[in-house]
Amino acid sequence: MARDKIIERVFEELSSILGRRVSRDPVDLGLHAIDASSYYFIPKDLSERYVLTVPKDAEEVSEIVKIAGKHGVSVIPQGSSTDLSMGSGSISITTANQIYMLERGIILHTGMMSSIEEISETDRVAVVEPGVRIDSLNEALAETDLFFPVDPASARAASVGGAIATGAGGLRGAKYGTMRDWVLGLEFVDGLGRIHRTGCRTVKCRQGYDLTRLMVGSEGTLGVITKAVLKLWPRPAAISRLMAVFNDFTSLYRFFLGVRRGRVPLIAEYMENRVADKVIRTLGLGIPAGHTLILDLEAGSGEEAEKLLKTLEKDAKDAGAFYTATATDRDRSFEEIYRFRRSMYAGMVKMKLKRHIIFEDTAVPISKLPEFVRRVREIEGKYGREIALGGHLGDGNLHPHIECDLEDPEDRSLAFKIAKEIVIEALKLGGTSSSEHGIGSMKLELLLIELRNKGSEHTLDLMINIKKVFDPKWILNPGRVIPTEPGRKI
Amino acid sequence: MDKAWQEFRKCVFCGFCESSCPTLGETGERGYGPRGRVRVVGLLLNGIYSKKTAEYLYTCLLCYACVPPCPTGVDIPGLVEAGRSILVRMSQKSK
Ligand SMILES: Cc1cc2nc3c(=O)[nH]c(=O)nc-3n(C[C@H](O)[C@H](O)[C@H](O)COP(=O)(O)OP(=O)(O)OC[C@H]3O[C@@H](n4cnc5c(N)ncnc54)[C@H](O)[C@@H]3O)c2cc1C
Ligand code: SF4
Ligand code: SF4
Repeated sequence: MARDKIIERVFEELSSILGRRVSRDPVDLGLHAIDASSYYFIPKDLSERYVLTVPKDAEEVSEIVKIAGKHGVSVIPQGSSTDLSMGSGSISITTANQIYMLERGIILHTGMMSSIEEISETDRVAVVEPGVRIDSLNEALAETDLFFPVDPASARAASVGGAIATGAGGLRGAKYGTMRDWVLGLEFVDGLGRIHRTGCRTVKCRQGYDLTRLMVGSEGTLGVITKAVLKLWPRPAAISRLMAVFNDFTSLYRFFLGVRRGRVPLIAEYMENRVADKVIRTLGLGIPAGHTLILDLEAGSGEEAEKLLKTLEKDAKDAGAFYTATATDRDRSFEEIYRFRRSMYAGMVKMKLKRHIIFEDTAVPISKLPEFVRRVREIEGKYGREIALGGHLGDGNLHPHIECDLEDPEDRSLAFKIAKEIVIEALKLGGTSSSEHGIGSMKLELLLIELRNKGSEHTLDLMINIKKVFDPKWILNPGRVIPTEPGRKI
Repeated sequence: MDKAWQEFRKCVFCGFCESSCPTLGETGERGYGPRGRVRVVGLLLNGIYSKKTAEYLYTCLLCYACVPPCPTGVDIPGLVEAGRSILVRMSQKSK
């Protein structure tokens, strides 16, 4: 296939600015063309239409965006590519369920912008570049009494820029909220290449419209984040961790409500029996499988944490738990229990070598969780397709996992039909279709359904107009968040 | 080949392995890390390769630091070695 003339010119112009940090090598492109929701695909002929760039600062990002605008080529901002909504690779999916690749694109990888510029214990802020991984930030904070509380299960890999852009949440969502609660200020490059600086390094900050908040969750469609001022928080003095396994969801839920009375657990993670079974087998653990709850509670001291665990364990057993494990943050087994939870997604996918999992992101109010679980089971029965549940019980964000052969259009249609039905039930219960993973391209239709359900379809026009102001040439991550014309079918 | 393909298919591209790798370096160039190397072999098995393939596979120290964090138990160094063998076979054929 002949090289695209436009991409040739773009490559030349980018090379004059970035030197060796621009590549159209098929292997480099193959490593960046996909994300954790589209890794299943191995797109070919990438060099003909794609360029990979690795800028080192906002000025270079600005130049890249300007060149892209001049030639009408899309820019895909990319951190660690752990996106679960087909949002950070070249592969997208339309509302009509068609998988496609953007016609041409510049992948803008933030891997080289990964410095922690400042940590101020007095101001309780960190100033970081977008490529810093969340766990690396917390490692850097280990010497202080502060931490960054938003902890997606992918924190080991996920970048700060990606987490801001997706509006990520995590295990501690019920206690600490999501990224939108922790970003004080931003530097970003808009679709014309202009560098903006918004927000403050103080908690109180009024600067006209809150553009910092607007950028959180904008998924690379409004600007490329090049720096962030993040709020930090004192680390809990001690933590009590309980793992309790029940025969059914109802007993587990009742126990959880009891624990929750008068306090907010740091984490309350749920794994249904089939998911737990898969993870146990994957990790080769010798523990029984069942409906599993992993609970973290804050304590004032190590001693208090030990004491709390004794009461918790007894209460769990009284509520019907047939297996428990406990640890405080001083114990070695503390991390092992967490690893069990962190392996949930991977454990599920690995069991399906031939099939993928559509990972849904619904949340419902806590009071509606048992009803939501019941309705999911009804849908499962109706279609005879396994829908496993697991995730953040503490904030009502259970992720339904639907088996799916992504490469088979019919199977894909069925999986997406099931996903839609689940979302409609979540909406009826006062919930949402997308809690933390973002819309990407995978949830475009679900966003439309959600707006329609609220009688607010016209709100999409508002979003389109906002996008036009930030990105008049419509080059920043097109086809994500807001539906647009698809590129080439693959 | 089939075994390498099955091993490659275990990878879910989560990136949990990356921060333990001594060769990933400051540029964060994916090919110098375990997630990248697993994918490089996957690409090779699909006929996608370049000079970078050998560069990325032969800079691996086979140190196994990336294996414990992997939640799906991919034998990353084993896959790197499988990739190297394919490259050797390819170069022998082209002689
Ligand atoms: C195993 C696993 C577990 C996960 N668990 C959670 C969880 O508990 N909670 C949760 O919220 N998510 C979770 N995720 C999803 C994902 O990890 C998060 O969305 C994460 O924040 C993405 O970060 P990233 O660096 O990988 O971003 P990428 O995948 O690279 O990008 C994500 C999005 O952000 C945009 N983007 C990236 N960098 C920038 C930038 N500098 N400027 C502008 N836009 C940018 C991209 O264009 C894309 O739209 C999980 C994923 C996996 C694979
Ligand atoms: S075995 Fe190779 S890929 Fe894994 S950590 Fe060592 S050098 Fe990195
Ligand atoms: S940790 Fe394992 S599954 Fe995740 S990217 Fe690395 S090799 Fe793949």
